Amino acid sequence: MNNFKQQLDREMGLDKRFQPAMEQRIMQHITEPQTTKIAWPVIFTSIAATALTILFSLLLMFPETKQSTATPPLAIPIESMHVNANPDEKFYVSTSPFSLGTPLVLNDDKLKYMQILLSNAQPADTSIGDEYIDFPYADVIVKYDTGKERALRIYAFDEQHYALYDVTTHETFKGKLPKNTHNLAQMVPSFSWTFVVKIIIILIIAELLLTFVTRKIFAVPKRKERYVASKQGIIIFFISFSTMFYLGFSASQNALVLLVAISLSTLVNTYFEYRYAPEDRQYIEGIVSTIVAVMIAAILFIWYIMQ
Amino acid sequence: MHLRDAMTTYGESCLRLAYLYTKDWNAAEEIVQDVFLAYANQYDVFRGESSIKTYLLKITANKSKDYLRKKKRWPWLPFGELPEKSTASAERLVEREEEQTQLLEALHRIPLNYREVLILYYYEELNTREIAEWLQCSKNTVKTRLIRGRNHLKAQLKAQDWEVFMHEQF
Repeated sequence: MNNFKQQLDREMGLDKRFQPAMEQRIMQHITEPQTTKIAWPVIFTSIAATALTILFSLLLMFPETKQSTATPPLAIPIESMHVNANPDEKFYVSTSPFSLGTPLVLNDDKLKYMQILLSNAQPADTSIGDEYIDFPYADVIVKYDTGKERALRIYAFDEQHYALYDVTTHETFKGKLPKNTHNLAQMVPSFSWTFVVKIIIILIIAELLLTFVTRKIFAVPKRKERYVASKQGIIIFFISFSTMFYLGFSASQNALVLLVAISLSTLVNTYFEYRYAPEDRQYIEGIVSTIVAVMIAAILFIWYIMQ
Repeated sequence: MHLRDAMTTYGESCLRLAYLYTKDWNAAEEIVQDVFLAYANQYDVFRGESSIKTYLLKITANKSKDYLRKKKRWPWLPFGELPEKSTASAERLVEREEEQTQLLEALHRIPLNYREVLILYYYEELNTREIAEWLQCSKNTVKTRLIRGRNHLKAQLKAQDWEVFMHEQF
């Protein structure tokens, strides 16, 4: 025994302090029926997960599709448009800024081209029939300078001939493009999955780098266990499962859903880590990830709007 | 190991360790009570990667740090001002006050991260590798904290008191 220990024991007193009475008290405490503690983390995350499920379910049941509420003249100047390049049989365009599948188009050339399509179209006597479904088509919501909107489906018969079908009023317009204009296909920005895959890969690499740098800067130790409590793992699984379920069955690729799911997962992780194992310092990763994710989301959103 | 046996064998060590962290016997008793409650509730999930003594001491250290953190966060709460729950007599309390000398006082004036390493190294007689595993930091960090802890202690103690410990090696 070293001097230090001997001295400390002397100063604390050499008599035993852990008395049988104390032992008895602990035993009594253990045998007493335990009052049930309110598990706030579980309640909090359950409420959040339930809210998320309800939100996803509502989004599934009532997908956001805007249809024109008035019928402005077709050829008046337009301000912007939302395009769905790969629609199903049912008309679908979301004007939500979070919708990945139906981007907002503010590009001058594309708007001019759309303007030409609208200006050259003339009311047609024949209405749209089932045979039109064989031609390539795209769904568009055009917003006019007056603030009014029209929901249109554009059918391209060949490089010059096309038809516009108003899904609300069921009016049909047909037109022919002047020869010097671009091909119809160029008007419709196709949704690229390779772009999404690239973004996902970049995000994964960025997340790995961020974790590495955070661990170095804040000296966050590595831990064998992924989760501090089994409840944490179950809740994260539930959030991931419900998100995948929604994305699997939803017509839209809504970035808001992913944003909510990722934010909630990070929040749950950070909360559990801070509540149950603050000494592991894993919660720092959650905080840093959240800050960086918000910054990236803001940059992406601005970039998306500027397109 | 049965709870009663664990308490008889390691209760004293846990209590003293909790006191070294908190400098409050009431708090130390509360902590030890919590430690054995946790032991009773979680014994089934004890993975046996360490000895029961290490397991209990680790819980004690963590609960002591939680107590100190809580105390720091809510300083207006009456931590440490509760009446003595132990059966100690009034004479015993006076005797205890008299027994309090330099080293304990000096140790409690040192920042927690240095104090903790000194306690684990000198009092619990763990080696630097074990402390590094315990605190989940590198061995060099432990050594640095030990050196700085010793320097803090030296600054707190009178020269003649320090001489007793100056030859302690690691």
